[in-house]
Amino acid sequence: MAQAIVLPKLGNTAESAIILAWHANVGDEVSAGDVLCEIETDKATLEVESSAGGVLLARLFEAGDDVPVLSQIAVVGRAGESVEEFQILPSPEPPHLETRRKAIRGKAVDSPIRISPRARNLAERKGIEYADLTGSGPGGRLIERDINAAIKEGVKITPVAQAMLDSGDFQLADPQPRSARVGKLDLVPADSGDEIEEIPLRGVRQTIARRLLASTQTTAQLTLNSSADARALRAFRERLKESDEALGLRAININDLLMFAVARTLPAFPNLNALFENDTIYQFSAAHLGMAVDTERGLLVPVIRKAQALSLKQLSAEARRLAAACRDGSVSPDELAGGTFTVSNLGALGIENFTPLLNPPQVAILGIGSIHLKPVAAGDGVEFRPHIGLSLTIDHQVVDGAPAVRFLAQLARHLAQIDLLAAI
Amino acid sequence: MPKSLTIDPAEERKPAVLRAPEIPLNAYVSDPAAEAAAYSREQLVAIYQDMVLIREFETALDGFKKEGSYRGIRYTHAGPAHLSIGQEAAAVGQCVHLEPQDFILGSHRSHGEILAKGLSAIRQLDEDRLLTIMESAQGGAALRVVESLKDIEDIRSLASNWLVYGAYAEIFARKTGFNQGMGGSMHAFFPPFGIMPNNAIVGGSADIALGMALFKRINRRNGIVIANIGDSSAASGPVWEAMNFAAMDQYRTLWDADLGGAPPILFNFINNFYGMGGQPQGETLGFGSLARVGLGVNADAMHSERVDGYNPLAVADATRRKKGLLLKGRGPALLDVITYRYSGHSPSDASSYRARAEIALWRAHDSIRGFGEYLCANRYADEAQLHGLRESVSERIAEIVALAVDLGSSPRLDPAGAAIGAMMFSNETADALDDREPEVSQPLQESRLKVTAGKHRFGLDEDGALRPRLKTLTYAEAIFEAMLHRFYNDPTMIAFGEENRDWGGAFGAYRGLTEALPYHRLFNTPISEAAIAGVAVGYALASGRAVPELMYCDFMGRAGDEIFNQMAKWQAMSGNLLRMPLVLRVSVGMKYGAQHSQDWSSLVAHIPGLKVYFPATAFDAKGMLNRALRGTDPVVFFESQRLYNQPETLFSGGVPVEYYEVEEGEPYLHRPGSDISIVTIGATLYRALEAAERLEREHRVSAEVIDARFLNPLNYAPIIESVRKTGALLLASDASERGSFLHTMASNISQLAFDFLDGPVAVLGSRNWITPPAELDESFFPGADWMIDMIHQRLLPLPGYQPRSEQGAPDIIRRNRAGV
Repeated sequence: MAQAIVLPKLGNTAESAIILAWHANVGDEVSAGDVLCEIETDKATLEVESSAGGVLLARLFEAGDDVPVLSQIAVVGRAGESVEEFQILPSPEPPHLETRRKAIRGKAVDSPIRISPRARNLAERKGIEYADLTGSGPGGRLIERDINAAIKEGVKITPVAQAMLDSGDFQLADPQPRSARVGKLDLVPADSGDEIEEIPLRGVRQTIARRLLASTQTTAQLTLNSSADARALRAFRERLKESDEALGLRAININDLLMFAVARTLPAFPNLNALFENDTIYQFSAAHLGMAVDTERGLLVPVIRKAQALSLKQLSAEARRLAAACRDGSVSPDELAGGTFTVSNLGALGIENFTPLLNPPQVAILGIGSIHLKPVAAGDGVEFRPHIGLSLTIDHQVVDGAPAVRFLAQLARHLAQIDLLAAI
Repeated sequence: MPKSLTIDPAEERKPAVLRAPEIPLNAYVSDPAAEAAAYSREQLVAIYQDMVLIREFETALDGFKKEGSYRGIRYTHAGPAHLSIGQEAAAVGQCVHLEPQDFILGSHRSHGEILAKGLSAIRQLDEDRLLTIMESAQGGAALRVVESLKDIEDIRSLASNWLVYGAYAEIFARKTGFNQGMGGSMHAFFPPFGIMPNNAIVGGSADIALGMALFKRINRRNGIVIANIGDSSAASGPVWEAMNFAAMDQYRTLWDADLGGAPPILFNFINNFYGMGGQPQGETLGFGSLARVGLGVNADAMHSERVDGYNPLAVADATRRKKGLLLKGRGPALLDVITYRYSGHSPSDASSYRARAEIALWRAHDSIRGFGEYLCANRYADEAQLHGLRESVSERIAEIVALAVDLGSSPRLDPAGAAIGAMMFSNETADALDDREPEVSQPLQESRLKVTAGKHRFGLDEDGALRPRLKTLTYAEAIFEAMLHRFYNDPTMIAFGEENRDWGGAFGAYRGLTEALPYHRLFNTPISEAAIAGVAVGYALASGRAVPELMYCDFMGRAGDEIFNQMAKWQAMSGNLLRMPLVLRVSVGMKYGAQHSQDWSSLVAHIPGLKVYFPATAFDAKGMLNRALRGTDPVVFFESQRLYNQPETLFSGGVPVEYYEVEEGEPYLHRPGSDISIVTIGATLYRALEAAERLEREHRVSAEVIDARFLNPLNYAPIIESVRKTGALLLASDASERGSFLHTMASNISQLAFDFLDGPVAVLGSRNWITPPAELDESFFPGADWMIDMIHQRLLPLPGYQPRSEQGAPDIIRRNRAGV
């Protein structure tokens, strides 16, 4: 008997995922455990494996579709078996799979909109255009509460229309729309003739956008710039590079050393290793260190848990593992959550100092700049010594300047004697 | 088993030989001198004339059926016609000594008996009475038609023609028939002449006739009751059950002696040697002679004997003797009246199963010719007179049947059917069906009512905690109070079942009734569900109030015909002549596996003609039973074994001590809500309330809970009102889901509230498989979890909710494809 393949629940928070690509075509033989498709949540890219063996009878969504978790996304069974029962709405002319798939989604222009009689009556009475609303009823049916939500929201523009407007490519056909709700049919191409690629905001990018905007809107950010003597760092790094391969220390890089120093410094500064939420400050004894990683899909911040308890070697290995997982998309949603302090390193790109943006509800973020020569007074003369740039942004709502300064000073001292720190 | 009877092992284990009476076969010897002393010439000629009339009556039908005409009258009769040509002596002989108050019940082949009994009654009733009867039947419509006939000499002659016309009009489905055409050929009857229902189910009259005989005995009425049933029915279960039920020792040993003994019933087997095409004697049964059957029933062998049904005087003699025994309380009696039908089972029967020579042999013994020869030989008449008599009968039949086939003088009921619908239920009420003083064994105030009245009438104390069970009125005791009330008000009311006395019913609902009532008003029966239901039907049709009990709903299968074909239909088939004040109490089981735990309320609700009640609380149990016991319609009253020990916990006023009724057909709103409606049948009410509680607490969903209480009749208005408010409806009951009455409700509500629905009506029943052992109850019966799961998956997804079971719409397809 044919079986539905269900989009699994991903972590604790993801409610939907985008299908990035299908790895099996309708008609392919698949075994249980074979990868059927690749999906992306707001935090990670994952693979969906077939939970059954047989022939892939139907794919119920297309690449690019945003699919609620626990939805049926494909059907596997014996060749020739009917997939009728997996169709939530029978289409008037069933044979063509594409037609059916659209019927399921209820979004194709020529397929009926799935809405309960009660919801439709309400929508019509209130003048709500429901064609582009998302239903919360079984199988995505629009039910009364969806219309009520739309009324309450007072939404005048459908999400699609909003995205089209946001892109700049479109504008309202009528500046004073008569309809209570603006849909995409109410839009016309924008006057400007520019060729602009339209990229709907979603997935990782959407998360980043929301978070960073929230960061600037909900915090009082103050950045303190400083630098630390980097001679010990460099020297120690050289020694590590040349150490006996059997020790497994060669891969430890400057960034690892910096993370290590931060992890060991933070516990003494609980007011920086903290979250600020709902008018409450939560201070942590352990340092759950967020680490900004640049990936093709955008910035990701995996978290090294209890970093203060790790040895240099352990911390380095974990940082490497997480960075790789972020880049290949295999990082789990849970590995991207729960940080108490973040380190963002732009030093490799030649930036000396910058203003890192807080990652709320965290109250501090440390930006690492490049190592550059800095003139310092040595004896009677001036000596150029390598220094590494440190930029600490704090949420001035809850962190005062003085402790931040003390933290930077302590960190600088630790960096200047990193070899000793590693020995503790 | 009453304590007064001791089973003594010394006695039971003693060696002995069982001796049985001899069974006489055709013992009657014609003695013209004795017969001349017993019967007047007029009587003897009347016997001949009646036989001729019956044969001509049937011959006309045969003509219509086979050739579309009779004596030049053209007519096509669409319905059945099971003719009794050849069997006339058995019918006429039987009625020679019957009086109007004697009842006969028959079979599909009873035209002859109807006419014979009617003619017999017409000869005995006085003319005023006859006129009153004809004037009151169908408002005198048939009388108006018959009055147009020429040469009517007197009232009796008019009544005879009226009888023939009424029978034809009934057979042809005319409004002027005995039963407005609703009985037809196989069911026609007319109580004022003692012609009681004829039954198209083989043997169907046996237990109904017994019920009428019981009515006569218990209510001290005159007369006997005869079940005219076919030879093949001797092998049908309900007939066997009825014979044993009729032979119970208790009538003579435990019932009040002044009642007069056993019910006066004669099981009169009209033995024409064929059951359809099979031959009970010699082929399909092994009794050799049907009269032997009586040997198996009681020490009197039911006074069984074979009678020559081709000699009307032999039949008259046997019936007279049996009637004497029955009136003395010595029944039951059994006659094996041998006879023969020349015609086939029905007009479509080509008689391929019998030789023409056999038919010729019987024709050579033809009873009409034979009795004619007897009349001539003994100088009661000569052949010319008999010929003239035959001719005049034939002409009169032709005149009458011409009126009966004519749609102008004999119209049918309005084909739109509203009139038929109006016949289904009488919808009357009666505190008592007779005005005499009810017979009871103790004053009401000394009955167990003094115990139950003193209990807590509401199950929860001021803090909402359950009160001690033994000190609080239960659902079972609420039933007791309703029964007690009606017993003390209606003298005709009786109750019976498999353990009703002493034990007080298997679940104790009748505790205290044994002390309050004499044996004949509350008694134990054999384990014979068919007879229990069938006897109640007969008792009710005879105008007594009957309350039979089936210990488990699952046993309804054993009484299927009696509930579905008899109890449900006779009010309408009588054309509103009769009432059916019958409340069948049925207990829905639990924890007793596949054959003792099913809720079959849906099966019953499917059958037209039954009212179906299913109370879920003690308040409703009493109020609804009170309502049922005052009505005049057949009610199947479902009770749940989950509830017998439950006090009233929902109606905060508790269960009143005084009399009250729940309005028939009205659902009750137990918990108001705004987001979803849950409507239940039976004990699922409590699980729905639990689900509503959890929905409120855990999901902030406000559920309205309504108990339907009635399946039929049912007022949908309050349910529709609820659905208009909430937009979502879950229906739940313990009946298996496939074919459940809930689907009927769902369909109706979808029609009535479509524009207000926020999702399809969801139906939650038990699984479509056997009721598993008690330990696996949760895999079968719907619980609160399933209700919430179904709401989540079909109607209103609950954010963050993880369902425990699969109740989604795709599951419908999967389960149905699997057949479960």
